[in-house]
Amino acid sequence: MATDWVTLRDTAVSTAKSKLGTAWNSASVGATSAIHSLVQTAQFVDEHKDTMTADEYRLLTSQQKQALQNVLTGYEAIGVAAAINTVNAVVAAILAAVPGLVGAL
Amino acid sequence: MRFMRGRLVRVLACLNALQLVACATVSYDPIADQQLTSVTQEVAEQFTTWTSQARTGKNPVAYDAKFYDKVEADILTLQIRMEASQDPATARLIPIFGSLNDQLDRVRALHRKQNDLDAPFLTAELDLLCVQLATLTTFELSLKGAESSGATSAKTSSTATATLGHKASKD
Repeated sequence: MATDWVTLRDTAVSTAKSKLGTAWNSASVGATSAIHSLVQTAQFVDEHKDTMTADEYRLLTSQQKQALQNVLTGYEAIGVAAAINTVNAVVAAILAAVPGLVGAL
Repeated sequence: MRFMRGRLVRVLACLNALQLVACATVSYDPIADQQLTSVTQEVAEQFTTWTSQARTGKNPVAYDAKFYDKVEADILTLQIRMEASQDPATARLIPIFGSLNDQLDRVRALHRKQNDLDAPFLTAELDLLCVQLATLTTFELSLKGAESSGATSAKTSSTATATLGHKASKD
């Protein structure tokens, strides 16, 4: 049975969305693009498995899992950075508006 | 009066907590950005050259230890630099570097064993490595955007880089 790559791609994106949680808000564009790219590569590997050695095929299929994990970890970090820097910006805005609070803190 | 004092204490406590959280700013690192670009370029150039060579079918793509040594050393250098930043967001990226070197080690071992690599393998391998390196680049670029706009956003994506090898290989 042929693989439905479009459904697979959509499932991968929705799974990533639930895994990344609030980080998804700041990383959705890049993460979606990266996941599409990974699914596209998986399809390419599947279509060309007869034109590579068995060892090459095995290496690529095992590496795909690592690549996906690293991409999700990367976008999770982008979400964390976004949260930290947003808090920084809010604090800076408050302290700029009410300089007297600096002494109180 | 007692109500007002209690409210003021709560506000000050919140601001204090915010300030503590705000201490660890995640800053853009132009040197790490440059190093990432160099490693990505190095990998892309070598794999594209090997892919072209493999497509001709004339000569095998011979194992080249120097290339693997150089890329692994560059990734390690980058890891050390990013570890030094010590902010909680960058710290999450550290395992990616170990994983990338592990992947390159496995490609190296296979390359040494076969002393040749097939074109479709090289195409897919370049895609996989580039999408991971692109994620790291996107991290840096999102910080660069944050410094200029005052808020972090990952809208600027470098993942287009990741599809370059794939698209070129299909032509």
